Order: sequence, then C-alpha cells, then structure tokens
Amino acid sequence: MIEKDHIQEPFKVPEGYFDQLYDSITAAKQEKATLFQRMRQYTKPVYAVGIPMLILVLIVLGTGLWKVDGVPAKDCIELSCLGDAELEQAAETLDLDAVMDFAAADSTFRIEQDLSITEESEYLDEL
Amino acid sequence: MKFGIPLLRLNLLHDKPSNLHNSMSEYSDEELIQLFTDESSRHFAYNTLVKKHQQKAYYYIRRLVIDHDDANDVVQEVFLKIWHSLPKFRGDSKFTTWLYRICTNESIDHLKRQRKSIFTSIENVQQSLAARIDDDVLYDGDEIRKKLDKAVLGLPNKQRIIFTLKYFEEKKFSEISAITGTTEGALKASYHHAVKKIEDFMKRD
Repeated sequence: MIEKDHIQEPFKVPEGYFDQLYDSITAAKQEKATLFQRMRQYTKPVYAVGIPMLILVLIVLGTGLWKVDGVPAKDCIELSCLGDAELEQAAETLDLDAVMDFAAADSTFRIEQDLSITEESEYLDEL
Repeated sequence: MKFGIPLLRLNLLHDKPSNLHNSMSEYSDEELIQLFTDESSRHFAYNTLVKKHQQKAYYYIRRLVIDHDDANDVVQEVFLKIWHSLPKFRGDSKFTTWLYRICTNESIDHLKRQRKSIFTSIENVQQSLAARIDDDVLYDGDEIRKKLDKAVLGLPNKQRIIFTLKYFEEKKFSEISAITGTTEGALKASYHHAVKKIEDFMKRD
C-alpha cells in the first residue's frame, strides 16, 4: 500500500511556469480591458454623430418616398407654399408634370371638400 | 485506508511563485471579491485571486485534460472568464466552488473540441489521453501511479470528474454537489462505482 505522503504530484510543469502563467493571465486580462476601453472610446462619438445622421437620412428618405395621391410629398410641400402667381412661375421652372400632378391631387382634395365642378375647372384654367 | 486504493499526496505547492507576497494570503476570497467591486482595487483583487488559485486550478484541469499545453490554454480561459464574470458572481456559493465549476465546464468543452467527429464520445478521447501519459515528458509518475491515472481515464466522464474531485482534490460531497449540480446521494453512488472500477483495474495483471 502506498501512503499519499510518499508520492509526489506526477504532473510536472516547466520551471517557473506558474510565474509565467500569472503574467500571461494578468496581461491577457489587461489587453482585453484595454480593448474594451478603446471600443468604448470609439463607440461613443460614433453613436453621438451616427444616430442624428441616421435620423436625418431617414427623414430625407421618408419625405422623398412619401407620396400624397401619387405626388411626392416634397413637391406638395414646395407647391402648397406658393401663391397663384408664384405657382404659375414655378410651372415654368419646375417639372411641369409634377405641377400638374399636384394640381390634380389638389383638385381631388377640393372635390372631396364639395367644391363644384365649375369651380374646379376654373381653378385648373387658372393654372 | 478507504476503498483499498492507494492514497496519494498531492503536492500542490511545489513550484510556488517566488514573488508571492505574504500580504496577499491575508485576504480571504470574500474580501478579495469585495475589493474587486471597487474600480481602484479591482486589478489588485483579481491578481491576488489568480495568485491564490492558479495552481489548484491548473492541477485540477491538468488531471482532466492530461496534456500540459492543453491545461495551460484551459486555465487561461478559466481566469479570463472569471475576470469577465466576477462582477456577476452573487456569492451564493464559495468562490472556490464557482472556480471548480468553471474549470470543470471549460475542461469538458475542451475535451469535446478534441473529438474527431460529433459521433465520437468524450470517453474515446479519454482513452487516447491514457495512451498519451506514456509519452508525456512532463509526467513522471511511477508505475502504480501511472496505472491509477490510466484507470481514472477509463471511467465514464461524470464518474471521472466526481472521483477526481473527491480523491485528488479532497472535496466534500456537499461541495462536489455544488460544483457538479448533482445530488449527494447520486454522487456517493457514482463515487462508489468509480472506486470499484478502479480497484478492478488495479487488480488486473
């Protein structure tokens, strides 16, 4: 029978291994910690700039894609701000199709508001 | 002598780091975990925990994975995991119980990764490890110890872990239960079966 005290640990390690192991573990931990700190440093400005930019891009895309009765919302916004004379002038400079589309959309709105067909044609004539 | 198998003393303190400060050993694990919560003393607390427990963790892992390089990789993984998970450690169990649980899980994962295919069992990996003992230059057990280690490697995975924790690490069944998540009754039965198998193996030849 062999007593426990008489036998040494059979699994050996290279000399000075545990000092090296300690150094490796603490160095690896610090490397990871530094990496996370660096990531935090870089991600903060990215979020600060990136999120407002993303919101802006979404607004631009949203107004670009959003249509009122087939007319892009941005054209409606531009044209609805104009008076009759300005609208006429705008027809020369802006895309004529867009103006006509706006007028058509506007007329639909007016019909819905119980405007007479005569009034409607007068309005189109003015255009 | 219990169960009639050789009782071997584990000399865990050989190759002790020369720069281990006395002051470090004055701190209990609970105090070090408390110090870890403070940003200013976090690194000191962690480094002290590493110094205190790295040898125990290494030898336990080495007994499970056998190869020194593998044990080296696994023990580093274990302590990195501790660095990241210690803030979430609730202190429901002792730190050493938690450490042994991480060591066990990481070692099993390592053995699983060594399987040649998903259809190969961990037991097959263990049998190939038994053959490695003969060629390992960092293993200098005598014939009887070599035979004991090979017998342990022949055990089913769970029995092997339970036997290693009870016989080599000298843990109480209550602590092994906390480490493995198995009831004490089941542990005692597994340990009994393991001892019987080892005795049979030792009597052969």
